[in-house]
Amino acid sequence: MSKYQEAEDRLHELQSGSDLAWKSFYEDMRSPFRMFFMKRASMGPEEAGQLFHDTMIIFHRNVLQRKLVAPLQSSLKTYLFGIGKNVLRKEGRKGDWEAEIPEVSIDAAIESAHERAAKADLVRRLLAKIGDSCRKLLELVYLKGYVMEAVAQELGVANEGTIRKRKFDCLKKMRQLLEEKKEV
Amino acid sequence: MDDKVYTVEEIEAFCLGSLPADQQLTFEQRLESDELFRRRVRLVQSILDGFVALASEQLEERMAGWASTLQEQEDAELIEWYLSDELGPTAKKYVEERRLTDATFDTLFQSQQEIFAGLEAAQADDFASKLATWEKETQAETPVRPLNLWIKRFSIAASIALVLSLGGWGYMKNQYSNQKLFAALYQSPNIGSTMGGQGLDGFKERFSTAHRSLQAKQFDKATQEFIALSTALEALDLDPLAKSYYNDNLEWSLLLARLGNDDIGNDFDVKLEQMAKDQNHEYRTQAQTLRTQLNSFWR
Repeated sequence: MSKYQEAEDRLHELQSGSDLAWKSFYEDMRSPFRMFFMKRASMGPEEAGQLFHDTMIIFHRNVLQRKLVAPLQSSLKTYLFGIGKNVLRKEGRKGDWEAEIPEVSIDAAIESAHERAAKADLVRRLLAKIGDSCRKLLELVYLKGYVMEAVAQELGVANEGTIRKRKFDCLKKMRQLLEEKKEV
Repeated sequence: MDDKVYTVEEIEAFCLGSLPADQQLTFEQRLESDELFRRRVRLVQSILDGFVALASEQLEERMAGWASTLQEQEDAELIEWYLSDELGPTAKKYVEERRLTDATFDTLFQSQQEIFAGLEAAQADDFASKLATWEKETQAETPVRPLNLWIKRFSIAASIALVLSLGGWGYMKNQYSNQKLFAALYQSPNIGSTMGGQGLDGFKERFSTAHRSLQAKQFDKATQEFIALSTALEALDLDPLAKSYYNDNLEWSLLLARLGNDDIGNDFDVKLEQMAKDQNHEYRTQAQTLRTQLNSFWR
């Protein structure tokens, strides 16, 4: 049995994309995270709250993109605090408090809100053009982070291979739309 | 040149940086040499980036919703951390400044501080009771025996804790004493206002004098003056609104004067109860607060 079995079970819940699981994780982590960074890194409440949100976004991405998978090398809390530490390091903020969080090699890059909005807007517009079935499938895969088996189940398709093929076709559709748009 | 047809999964894995090392190298070489392929990968990359950004946006929206429901809890937590010295200098400063500008936050701070002090005192009191019980049990079980070093140390520590806990209890008792409650609840009325009516000037003069006595904590004198004013008010020709204002103030002031004088026997509770229940009474809220505090555990 893994040393971090409980954390792995929780990660599994998060990977399922359950809104309840994410909300509960958010609520569990917010207080200790804010308190730690307010005390150790001398941040104000609002700044600590913003750091928590930025950290959660990176954490969410890593879960969705399967960069964080079992077997885990640390608890989810340590991993999350590690991201927070790396985000602050990137901003050039260092201190004695860093030693209290174990090192975790996590890329803490995060784009600006403006960049993010532009990227998201592109996909939002493409999704609106590819038809409902494609949109639903791609949303399950890329926005909810469902694995193929779960997508097949959700869409009532028996064969995972069929889903894989449809995903390929849908992405291709998007790529073609994007290509056309760029050529215009 | 490598002419392998890459699947969308492989392109995706490359974009996510999860392609095995050997395949990664071949993939990069192909990218360098094949313009069309490079373009295709770039398009997939921008779509994937867009999905990631969209997922983050959606999470941000959800987090903003979750955070707003936690606002009240966070204020309470912040105060708790401040009181238990768990905050750094920036956050401490934030709490102190916010107390000056946000009355609701300041009220929350004060009530939480009071609760904390109460809890600490209760813990200390509970510990003191336990110590007393242990001491009785020890005396009963072991009449005389030499104490080893650790027991001696514990006894000294326990004695200190007992003294501190009794101090804490005394502090809380003091916070709920009649005089403290009087000081917390008394507010000087708007004596200078003109409410009209003949013979009012003399009445207002005596009204001010009675309040000055109360402010000076001359409770006996103030009690007599307020009783006399109540009789005088009945004979005064005033409009109903002004009469009701003075009557309510005199009733409340009289109760406070008695409270400050530790004269809370006889009909004190009955009068307070009437005031707390009277929906039209000017000092109904204050009366309810006083009633709660008089029934407090700390009394």
